[in-house]
Amino acid sequence: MAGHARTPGYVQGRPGVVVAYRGIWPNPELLAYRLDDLAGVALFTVDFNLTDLWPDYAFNADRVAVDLYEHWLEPSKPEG
Amino acid sequence: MGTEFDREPNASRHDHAGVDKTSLSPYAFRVMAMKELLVERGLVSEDELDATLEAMERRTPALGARLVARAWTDPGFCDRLLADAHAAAAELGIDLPPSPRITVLANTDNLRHLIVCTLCSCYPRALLGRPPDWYKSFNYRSRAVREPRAVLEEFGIQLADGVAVRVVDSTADHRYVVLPQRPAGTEALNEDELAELVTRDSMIGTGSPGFENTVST
Repeated sequence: MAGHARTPGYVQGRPGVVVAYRGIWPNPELLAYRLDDLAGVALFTVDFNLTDLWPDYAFNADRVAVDLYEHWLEPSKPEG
Repeated sequence: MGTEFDREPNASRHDHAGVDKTSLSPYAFRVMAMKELLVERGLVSEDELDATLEAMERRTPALGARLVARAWTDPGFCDRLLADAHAAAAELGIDLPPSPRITVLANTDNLRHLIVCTLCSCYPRALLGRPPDWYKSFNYRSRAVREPRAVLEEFGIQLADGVAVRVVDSTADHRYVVLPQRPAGTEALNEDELAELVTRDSMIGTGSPGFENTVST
């Protein structure tokens, strides 16, 4: 469901690394419409290199941590 | 950027009798109308509103500063604070509501954190009180994740070589507070004196503990 998604556009489709598990929380996309979400969804902190988000970014070590719900994540393709 | 004290007039008093409604902005007028309807229909009471506002006003950056000062003086407490801020705060008699969850992130010699909420204005109110206006501005929210070093520079922060920036976007049910590094030259200070050095901005990541401003060396 679109609507009240809490995944910022600037990280969608980008590679990141899960660095922390933050527990189970109600899905905000359902909660915003007062729909039941008894099971909840897992929340993770994902670190993204800023150079992977902004092609012209100059500092390799800088990153942004974003909290993302599990259904917004998919495994990255294995590297060759 | 001294907006810490920009509380609205009558923020904790919800008796609108005598307020000249024609002097309000359209948004303030709409809020007042909604509030009056909610009270009129019994969905919320004036007392509940006042109690909530008073509880919000009691939260100030002094709470966060106490945790930081204790962490600086007690390594065991520091570990517990980073592992579970709620349990550590309870040790000092600070009651953090279970939600949103608060996590404290430590700055180190080679890592500096910067807290933002790009989607709205999520902020660790339970430890820092009300956010400054600039924290909610489009300028800060959009640029913190795009050019954090330029933003830090505008706040007067010079990064040493080899220091990486980790921006933290508060997108969900967690709120983040920065544990700044203890300034050099503070060995003689006790915990209360240290707490006075811990600024709000140092716990957001846009400032540093204010030792140089209070003590000449």
